[in-house]
Amino acid sequence: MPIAQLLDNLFLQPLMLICEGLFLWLLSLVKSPGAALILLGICVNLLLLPLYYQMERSGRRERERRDAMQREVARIKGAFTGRERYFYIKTIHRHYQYRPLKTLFTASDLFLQMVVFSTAYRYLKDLPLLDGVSFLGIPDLSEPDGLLFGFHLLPLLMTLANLASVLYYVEDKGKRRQGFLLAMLFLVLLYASPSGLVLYWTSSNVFSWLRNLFGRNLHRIVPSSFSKGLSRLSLQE
Amino acid sequence: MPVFAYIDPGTGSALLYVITGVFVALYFAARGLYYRVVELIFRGRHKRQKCTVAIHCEDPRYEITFLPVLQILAQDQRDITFFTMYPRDDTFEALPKGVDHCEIAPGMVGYAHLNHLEAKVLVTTTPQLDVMTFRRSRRVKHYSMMQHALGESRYVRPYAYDFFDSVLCCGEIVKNNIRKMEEIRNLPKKQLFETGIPHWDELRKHVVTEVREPRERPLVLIAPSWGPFSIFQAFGTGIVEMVAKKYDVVVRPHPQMKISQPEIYASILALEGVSVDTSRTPGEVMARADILISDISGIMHEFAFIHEKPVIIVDHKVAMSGLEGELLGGESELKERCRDFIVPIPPSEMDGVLDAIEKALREHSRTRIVEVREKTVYNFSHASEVAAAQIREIVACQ
Repeated sequence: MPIAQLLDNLFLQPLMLICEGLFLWLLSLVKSPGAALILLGICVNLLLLPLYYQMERSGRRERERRDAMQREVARIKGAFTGRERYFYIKTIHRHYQYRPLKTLFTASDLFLQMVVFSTAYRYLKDLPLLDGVSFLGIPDLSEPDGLLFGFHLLPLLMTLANLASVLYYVEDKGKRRQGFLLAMLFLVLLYASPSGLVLYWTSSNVFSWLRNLFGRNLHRIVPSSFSKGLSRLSLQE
Repeated sequence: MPVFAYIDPGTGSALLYVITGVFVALYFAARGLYYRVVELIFRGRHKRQKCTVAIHCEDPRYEITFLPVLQILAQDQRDITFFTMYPRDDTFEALPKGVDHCEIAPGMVGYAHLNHLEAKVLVTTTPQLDVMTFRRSRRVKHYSMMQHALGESRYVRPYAYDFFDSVLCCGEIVKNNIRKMEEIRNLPKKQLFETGIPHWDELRKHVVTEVREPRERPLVLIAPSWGPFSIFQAFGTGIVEMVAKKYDVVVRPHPQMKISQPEIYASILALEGVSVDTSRTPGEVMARADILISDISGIMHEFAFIHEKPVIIVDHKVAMSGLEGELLGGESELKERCRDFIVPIPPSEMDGVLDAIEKALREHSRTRIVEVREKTVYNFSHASEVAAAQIREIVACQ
């Protein structure tokens, strides 16, 4: 059995069963596949919240460390060239215990996102329950929506949600540019996707954004002792 | 459709971090491979790679640092090998009995040799162990850096002391600097010995101890460095002529100037009424001179602290870019401490050098120099004995 198949059977298939169970349960509650997709995006986010929170907390220290290392690398790059620069950067990596390849195996948040969205993608892309189903003006959830004079509206909404997140959370100019580029890249890649899939993803992103927005401004709405606990809902700084 | 397309922008930076990591890994693997291959080519199986105490001397000018220590160390320490990256003929001072000499090639070939050494301790004046020069050998238990001049770790290149097990410090400023760098980089604390500067013990032998009558025309020694910061590069030889109108002058050009700036060197030799000193060591001329004018040359500390005489120094702003001082921050502590007798003059005020000389000679106080020296230099006049004892202590602990 090929390794990819083995991994698929071991990890993705059980997760797809859970995803299916959750979707069918939501569908039985709201009786509308479109509404169930929106709720699925929200529920998956809520279920993964404790895990994301833990990863965010441990990732914060790592990010601070990475930023400090990058500052030191920039300092050396500004002053030295060639062989000297190579050996100094190598020394910086040693000081920060940075192994370039290690980043592949320690990006747990990336890994989790990949697993979650792989599951959703695999489950939703050919879901027979969405065939020919219309929702809020979308004629068929198994096809791209074509709501905007033949152009697809949902991928644009999804991109808007992404851009709003970048504008709201990212202050560093370089990282903001990076975020914009990624949002545009995702727009191109997802533009022609089935609208059910984009609906799920858009609801998931909008929920994440609102959750962070709520968490960040919590202290203005409720007493500080209470908001400290609730602000844990917010994952980003 | 790629699965990556379903990753939100928040995770996007993590994705880019991973992708960057892959490229960085590939780049470093490729370049590292190149250096490994170079080292393998140069690596040889040498018979004499094993000893108890290895002393590594990169250049003949550091012999004066090691020899006084070796004289004492060799009295009761066996199996010492003196590795030099240059040939050592009969013109060199003989090594003490019991000290073996091993000549290794300069540069990468010599470093490749040191990378595979076996010893209890290796002492060197070469900084940047495991960074730019030689790597730590698994069979050397302890690496110690010995300082050959008074200074700060402010002007040294990056990571100069980071991977040594110990440093034989010249004074408290360096000791404090190293501790601060350890904090900044979160490094384990290395052993910092209060040693001093062994070769100053030797230089001190040339010092005229008796107090002389003031000369009618004091003797000014002009001993600049070479290169862009040299006094002669910045102001030409006109400064010598200006000083010579009022004082006796002896110029001691840096030996490298003859090679790198031959025109300037020739114009110095052509100066009338000015004597030029090109002797191998500056001890004799420093003993004769009453005041020194220099630039960034290390000679100024020797003149002030060993001969206890004033110095005028051209105060070039040294760019800290990339150097350890950039992280240490602030100004040179050593410069501040010595301001009373190593008088800095900005390059823009060199026209007033005659007034500065007169003032420095008039206000000179030996007591003040001794006071600062006590605070700034460890074990003045007996650093060699201290260094030898500390090396013995290191060996005993291995």
